[in-house]
Amino acid sequence: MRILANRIVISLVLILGAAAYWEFELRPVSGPLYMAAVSDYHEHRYHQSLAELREGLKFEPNDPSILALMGWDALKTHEAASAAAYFRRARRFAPVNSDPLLGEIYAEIALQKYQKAKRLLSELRRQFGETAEFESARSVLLANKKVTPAQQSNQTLPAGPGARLNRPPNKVVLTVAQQAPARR
Amino acid sequence: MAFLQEALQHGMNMFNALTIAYFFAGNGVYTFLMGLSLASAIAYNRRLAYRGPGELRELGAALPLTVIIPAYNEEESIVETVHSALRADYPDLRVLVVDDGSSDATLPRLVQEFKLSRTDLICRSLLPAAPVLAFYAHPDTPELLVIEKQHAGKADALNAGINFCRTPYFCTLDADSLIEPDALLRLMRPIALSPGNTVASGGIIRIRNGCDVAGGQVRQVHRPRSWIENLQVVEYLRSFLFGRAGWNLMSGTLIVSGAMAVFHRETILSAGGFSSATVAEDMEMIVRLHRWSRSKGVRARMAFTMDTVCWTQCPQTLPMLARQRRRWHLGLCQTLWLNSEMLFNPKYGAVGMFSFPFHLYVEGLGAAVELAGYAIVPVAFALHLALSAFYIPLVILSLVYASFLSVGAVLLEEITYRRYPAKRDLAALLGWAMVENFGFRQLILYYRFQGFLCFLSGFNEWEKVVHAAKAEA
Repeated sequence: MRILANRIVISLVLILGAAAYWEFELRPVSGPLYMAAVSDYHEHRYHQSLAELREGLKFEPNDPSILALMGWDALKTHEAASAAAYFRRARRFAPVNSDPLLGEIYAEIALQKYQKAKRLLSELRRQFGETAEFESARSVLLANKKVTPAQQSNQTLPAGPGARLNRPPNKVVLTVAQQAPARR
Repeated sequence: MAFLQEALQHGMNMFNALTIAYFFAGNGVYTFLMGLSLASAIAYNRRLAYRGPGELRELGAALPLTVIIPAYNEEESIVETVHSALRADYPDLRVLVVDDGSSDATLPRLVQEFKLSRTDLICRSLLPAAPVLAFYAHPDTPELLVIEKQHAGKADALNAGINFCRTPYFCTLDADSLIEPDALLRLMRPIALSPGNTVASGGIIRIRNGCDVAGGQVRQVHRPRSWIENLQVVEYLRSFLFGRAGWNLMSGTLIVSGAMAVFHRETILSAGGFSSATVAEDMEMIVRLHRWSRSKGVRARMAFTMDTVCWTQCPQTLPMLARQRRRWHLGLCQTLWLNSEMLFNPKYGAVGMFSFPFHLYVEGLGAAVELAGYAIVPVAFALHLALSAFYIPLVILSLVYASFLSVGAVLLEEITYRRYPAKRDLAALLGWAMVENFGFRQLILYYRFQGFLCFLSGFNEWEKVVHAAKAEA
């Protein structure tokens, strides 16, 4: 028990406590901004959603949920190159998740980089099998090879991550980002 | 699995926050100390220009002093060190060498060089120390006395020396160090001229590797040749010019280098003498003196002289450097742990509120925190954990800033003391100061971390540094 009365031990416990308090109570988090962005996405306010996510990214620059939703927002606002970059970054932080990979396939299709999209599609199949997502992406790729770029975004892109995957948006990526909506 | 990943991420975030706080605290305090040291150095040089170190002699205020040299297997350097002490410019000086049971030719060399013969002395032991085996002296050099005793460590040898010391103040001197000619006058000056009770006085220790030495004195100052010694020169400059001078100005001195330091004998006797409980008897003594003075209600002052007082040898090889740094860090951790009641204790003033916490968190735990701070980057990538946005830029910025502090130390040396007269040496030192934090710092951190592990494992042995000439023999 004497060790617990030692000032050094007490101070170290207090420092760890302060770090935990910072992490769980004080640290600015992106949760509320992310929820607002999801809501804006569903109401087709993509630019506003992007702005909120950019704000959230300042607190958590490596959050794959935020990055993936930014990708979908960018795709909707016809910024396919940015979308591809966001999905690529999200994929780096959540490599075992299909959502950023899927998003990147759609972004590459929008950029008319069909060979790359095909490669990513193979990667999707290799990692996750021939799922409904895979089939959907493959049919979009095949269809897009026959239409003009102007028609692409309106005709072939999915309604949004939530609708497409039949689950709440951005609940698909791994790590703490999965809990993002539940956070403050 | 997701839960584990999330828990790891929270742990990573907490560690990120702690490391960033550590970097800010460490560099912030060092910057503050740099400002204090600069002010201190300018004030010291102005005073010195008005009245030099010889003032004490002219005033007849130089109190009698004994230089105690504990020696254990120091046959290579002991004769030179004793010559250096005997030639020091001080009016009333005795030199007492304590041979701590050396197994090499330390004692025979002393006997031969100074033509000593065995003699008998009676002494009342005031401090516990291992039995004394013999005394050696010579009528032609009455100021020199050599004591041969059983081996029991440096602290014990110092205690044996204090038992035979008959002057109000004594000066500890490492057996591989050389005194500056007027160093004792400089060290005793704040004691003699202080209105308060100054119980300890230390100064700047410099590295003598590479210097021209003759007759126990550094004749010409040069930079050493090897990279490992050059980087230590920069380290010493930063440590002494910034750290210790700054803390001294705040009355927060926690370390006075035992390589050469003056102590008030009666106070040391009252405090119980040097302790073998740690491997850093010098730091432990200073910290204990702070506690002793508070417990007795005595105001005890520690002085720091902003000038070179002695030249010591630094390790020339990595294994020896590792030994030295492990021991220093082990001693630091042991001392802080033994005196933990001083932490954030307002009773101890600046020492308890600032100096002790700094030495604990930045110096003591810093090695573990900083090493983990580097290691966490690849771990985060491997486990797909997110690092704080500012983390990597801050680590890089911190290293660059540390280089700026090292360069600042070399420049402070140049504008104040100018002990390296050759421009080529100065330019090279500036170069070493710039690269010191990229590789060497991390190596030293690793050795310090080993010292920290030694502390946790309860290891308490003095790892002796053997200098190159001896190691080759």
